[in-house]
Amino acid sequence: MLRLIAKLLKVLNSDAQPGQISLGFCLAMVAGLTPLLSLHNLLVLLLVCVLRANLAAFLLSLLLFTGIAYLFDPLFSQLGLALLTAPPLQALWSALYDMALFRLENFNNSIVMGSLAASLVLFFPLYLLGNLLIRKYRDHVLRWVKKSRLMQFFMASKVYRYYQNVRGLGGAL
Amino acid sequence: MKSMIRWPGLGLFAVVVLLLSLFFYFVVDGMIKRTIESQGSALVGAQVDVGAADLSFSPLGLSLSRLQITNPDAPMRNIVEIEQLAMSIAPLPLLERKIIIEEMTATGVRPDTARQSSGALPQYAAREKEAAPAAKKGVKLPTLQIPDVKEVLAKEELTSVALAREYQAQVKADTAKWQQRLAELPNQKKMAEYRERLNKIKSSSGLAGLMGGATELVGLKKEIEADMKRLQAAQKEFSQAAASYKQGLAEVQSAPQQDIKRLKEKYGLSPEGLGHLSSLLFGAKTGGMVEKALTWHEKIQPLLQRRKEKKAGTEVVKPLRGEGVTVRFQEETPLPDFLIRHIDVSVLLEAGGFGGTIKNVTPDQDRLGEPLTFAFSGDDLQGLRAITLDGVLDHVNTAQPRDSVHLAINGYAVNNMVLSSTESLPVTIASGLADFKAQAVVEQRQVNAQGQAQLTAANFAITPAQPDNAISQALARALADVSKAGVKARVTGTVNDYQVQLSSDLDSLLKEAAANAVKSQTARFEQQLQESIRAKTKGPVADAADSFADFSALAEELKARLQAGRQLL
Repeated sequence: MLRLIAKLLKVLNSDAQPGQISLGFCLAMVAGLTPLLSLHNLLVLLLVCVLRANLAAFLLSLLLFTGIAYLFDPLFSQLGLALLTAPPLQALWSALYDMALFRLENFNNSIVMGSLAASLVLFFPLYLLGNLLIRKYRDHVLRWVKKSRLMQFFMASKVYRYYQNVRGLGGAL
Repeated sequence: MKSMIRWPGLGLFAVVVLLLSLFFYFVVDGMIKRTIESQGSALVGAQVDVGAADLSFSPLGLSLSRLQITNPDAPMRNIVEIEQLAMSIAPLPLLERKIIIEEMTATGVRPDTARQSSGALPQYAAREKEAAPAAKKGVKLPTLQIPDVKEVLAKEELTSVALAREYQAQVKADTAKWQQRLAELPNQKKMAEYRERLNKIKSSSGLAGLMGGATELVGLKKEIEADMKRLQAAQKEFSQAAASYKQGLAEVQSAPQQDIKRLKEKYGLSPEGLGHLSSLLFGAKTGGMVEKALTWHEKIQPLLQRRKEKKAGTEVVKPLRGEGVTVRFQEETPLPDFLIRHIDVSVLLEAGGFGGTIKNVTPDQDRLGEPLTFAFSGDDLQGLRAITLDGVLDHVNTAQPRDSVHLAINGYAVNNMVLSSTESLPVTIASGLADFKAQAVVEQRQVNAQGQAQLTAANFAITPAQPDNAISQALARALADVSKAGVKARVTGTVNDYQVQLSSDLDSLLKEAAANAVKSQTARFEQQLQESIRAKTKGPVADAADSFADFSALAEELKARLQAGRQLL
């Protein structure tokens, strides 16, 4: 846990662009909230590798979203079933159903459909929000945190020692 | 935009995919083994074990060795053990998440084998308990033991006693009610007052007296008539109540006879029961076989027909196990999600081997458009000349499923087969030769099955454990000389509530043999029953009659008051 917090701080405080961190976070949301062994997650993996998404942010967020996905499964199932049985969408689903690629994707499972739809809808709003929050954090909070008593205490703690251990190629504190 | 692309990432992606593929290649056999074990266990409700699984890619196929399926009702035994199961899988449908097995070969199939360790799974035991069906009717076995009358009366409540007590209480309450009502009605004293007033009017003199007396007389007459009307209405109502109670008393007095008849039918040996004594010999065995067959028929239902429901015009399928639901849409070329087109089965029994084929195993017969069929046969087995088993499990029309099966066994050498283990008449066929034919149809949960067995060169071994039971002894003596027998069975009803009727050419022989013993025992039982019930009901019935007499006495009082009133008018 301490290691994870240290890594998160390291990512937030690194030179990485906010867009890269947010992208890693949002791609992890798609992979984590949907069933992991789904075909679309291969595409997510390709995007993580090819786009300059922050890998550390992706892996940390993937752990987080995979952990909480089970809590939302009943909700995703209801949403997915509503979408799959919505009369205006029947023609679309029927066309996709006859394509092997989409059948392999298992899109007609209520949880796959519900979780994928929810994560795609949340993708861009969270990406933009993430960018904004990281910028605000770096501009305001980070400077204040550095000088705060809490930070002084933190720098003397175990967490900070972990942080130093994983500092690797450079941090920004 | 250029800075957003990380081209070396393509290489990283290729490496990750390659590593994942390699990982999958090395662990896939274990994954398949564990999946079959967990899914199979959930389906059966007991441990399913796979010795090893081997997936081959070219051609695509799977081989399983030493598959054991535990019998959930007897966890130290397997329902079936299969030495080798090899199958070829169609690769293209896999892209559509459909498992289509074109050919499957099951070799070394051994039913009912012993396990080295228990295959019970506690998490499924509760489910089995919850899903246990209601008690089935099955075969009604006649009894050869007439119980002691004291024991019968100790556990049976006599309706005649309860009826007499209820009658008495009701009549007593009504008597009190009528006594109160009589007190409110004009009585003899009132009638005397009327007479006195009448005499006074009659004795008045003078013109004024006569004029006043006439007016008073008219008024008095009206008063008396009003009271008479009240008394007449009460008498009518009372007469109706009395008639009803009289009828009730007759019922109370005849109730002991009804009790005697009921208990005689329940505990005595009726001629109808004696007419089917063969069910005492073959009933337990037949009932057990029918129950086992129907239990397994119920257990395989999920394999024949998936649970589906329509929602907004599309088909929603609840998977046997797993998360979420799967929605199906119209396909250009519909195929089941799971299908085994052809299975070659080679069964190994102690008597030798026999083989057969099973076709079209799928829970989506409606999509395939073909029913599951099976046919097995074997000849010249040890202790068995020939056996054929075939059937059609037709769930193509899911609203009207129809399963049928035919079984024929010829020349089965019977050795020490326990037919009945009841204390009154334990029967074993020490040796004999049996031919057996049966056909059964379950259509929309209605069972209709017939079977017949012919036993020749039979040698019955009977050792009644109750030497004082004359009926058992008589039947044992009759069976000792029997060397051949024919039995017919018919099963009707629903899967959850069925009846088995048995008849045999032994019925008349056994009936004749037991007739005398049954007659004397039944007569003795009936006499004892009559005496005991009469003694028990005598008091309550007499009390009921007394209460009716008290009630009837009120009629005299009403009658007297009316008589007095009429004399005034």
